Amino acid sequence: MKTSFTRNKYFTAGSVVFMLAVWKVLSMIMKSSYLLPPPEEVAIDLYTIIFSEDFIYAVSATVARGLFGFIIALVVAIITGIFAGTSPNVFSFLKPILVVLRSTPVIAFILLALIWFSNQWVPVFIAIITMYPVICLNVIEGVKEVDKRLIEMAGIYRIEKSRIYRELYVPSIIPFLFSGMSTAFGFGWKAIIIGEVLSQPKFGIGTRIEYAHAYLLVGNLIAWTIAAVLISYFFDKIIGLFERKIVRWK
Amino acid sequence: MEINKYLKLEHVSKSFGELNVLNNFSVEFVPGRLNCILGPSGCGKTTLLNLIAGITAPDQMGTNNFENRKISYIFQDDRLLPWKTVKDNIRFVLHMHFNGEEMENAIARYIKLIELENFKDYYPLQLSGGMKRRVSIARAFSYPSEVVLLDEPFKGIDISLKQSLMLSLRMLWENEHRTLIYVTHDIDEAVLMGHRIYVLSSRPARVIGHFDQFENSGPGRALSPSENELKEKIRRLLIPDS
Repeated sequence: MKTSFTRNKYFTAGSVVFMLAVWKVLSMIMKSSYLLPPPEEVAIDLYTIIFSEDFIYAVSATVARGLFGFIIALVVAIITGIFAGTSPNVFSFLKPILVVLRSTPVIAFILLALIWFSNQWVPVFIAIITMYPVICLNVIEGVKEVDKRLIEMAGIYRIEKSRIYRELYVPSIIPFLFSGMSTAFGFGWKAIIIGEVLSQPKFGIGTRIEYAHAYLLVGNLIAWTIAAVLISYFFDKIIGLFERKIVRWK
Repeated sequence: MEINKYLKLEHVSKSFGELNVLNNFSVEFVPGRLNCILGPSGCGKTTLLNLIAGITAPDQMGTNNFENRKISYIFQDDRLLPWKTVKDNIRFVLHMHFNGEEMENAIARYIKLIELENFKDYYPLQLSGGMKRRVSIARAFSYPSEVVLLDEPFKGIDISLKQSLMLSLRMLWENEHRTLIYVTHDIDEAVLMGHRIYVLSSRPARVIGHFDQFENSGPGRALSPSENELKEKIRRLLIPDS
C-alpha cells in the first residue's frame, strides 16, 4: 500500500515535470517572453505577486466571493435536492431548471449579470449559478441512493419524519455532497474568475488577470493563473480533509 | 391459555401480481411466548411478518390484533445505520420513548446483555457479522414493543455463533416475556426455541399444523427424545413424501 502510494507520488511529480518541460520547450520555440515566457521567468513573477501588497486583497476578494456564492448554492441545493430526491413531482419541476442552468454557457450568464448587477456581485451570482446545479444533482443522487430498507426500519420503530430527514437522509447524502462540492468548486473558481475578468471589480484575481492581459504582461497573467489554480487545489484539499473528518464511518 | 388473549390475524389475503401468497389466511399467536413459523422457502413467511409490521398492505384483512401495537423487527439483514455507533444505533429507536437518563440506562443495559460493552463506540463497518446481528437484536429488545418479529435472524450464520445468538435471544425473552414471532426454515431451531410452532404449507400459505411445547427450556442443549419426535412430525408435514 505504502509502496503504491509512493509510486503514485512519483507519477504525479513526473506529470508536473512533464508539463513544465512542454512549457519550456514551447517558450523556446516561440522565443519571446511577450508570447510565452519560460517557467523560470513566471516563477519570479509568481514570487513577486505573492509578496506584493495587491495579492492578499485580490485573493481574499476572490475567495470571499467564491465562499459567499458557495454557501448560498450549498444551502439552496441541500434543501431543494432533498425535496426533489424524495418527491417525484418536485424532481420533475426542478429538472428542467437544472438542465437549463447546466447547459447554458457561463458566458451568457456573465453577460446578463453584467447588465443586471454591480461589478462586485457579478462573480457572486456566477458562483451561485455554476455551483448550485452541480451540488443539487449530487444531493438528489444521494437521496435516491438512500437505503430504502433503513427507511422501512425507521418506519417500524415509529421514528419522526424530521429525524428521518436529519439522521437518515442527511448522513446518507454527505458523501455525495462532498463529491458535489469538490466538482462545484472546480467549475466555480473558473467561472468566478471569468466573471471578475469581465466585470472588473476593484479587487480580484480575474481583475489582475485582465490587467496583465491589457498590458501584455504574459508572465504576470500566467502567474495569477497559477495562483488561481493553487487556490482551487487548496480548497479541493480542504474539502477532502473535511470529508475524512466527517465521514468517519467509512 | 384463554383464546381471547391470542393475537389474531384473520382472513388475510395478499397477492403480488399473479402470485397468490396468502389467501384468506388466519393465525393466532400466543402472547408472551416464542411463536415459531416454519414453512418451505417462498411460502410467504416474510410477507406475513411484513403484514403484521404494516410494511406491506394487505389486499384483504379481517381481524388484526397487531394494529396500533408497538412492534420491533429483527430483519434478515442488520439494517444498522452505518454512520452511527453501536450505542447511537440503539439510541436512534429510543428517543421518542425514554427521557435522557432512562434512555442511557436502557442502552447500557442492552449493550451489556449482548456483551458488546467494549464495542459500544464502534461503527457497524468495524463489527463482525455476529456483532452486527447482536446490535440488531439489542435494538429490537431495547425498544418498548409488545411484539418482536424475527425474520430468519440467524440465516447464514455459522453454527457456534448461531448457538450463542440463540442463547442471547432466549435470555432477552426471559427478561421480559414479550411476544416473539419468529420465522425460520430450520426445524431444529424452531424446536429448540419455540413455545408454539406453526407449520405452513407452500403458496398460498395456510397453517397445516401447530405444536405447543410451553415448557421449552430454550437452546444450548441437544434435542430430547420427545423433541426429536416432534422434529420428525414437523418434517413429515413439511415433506410429506419423506
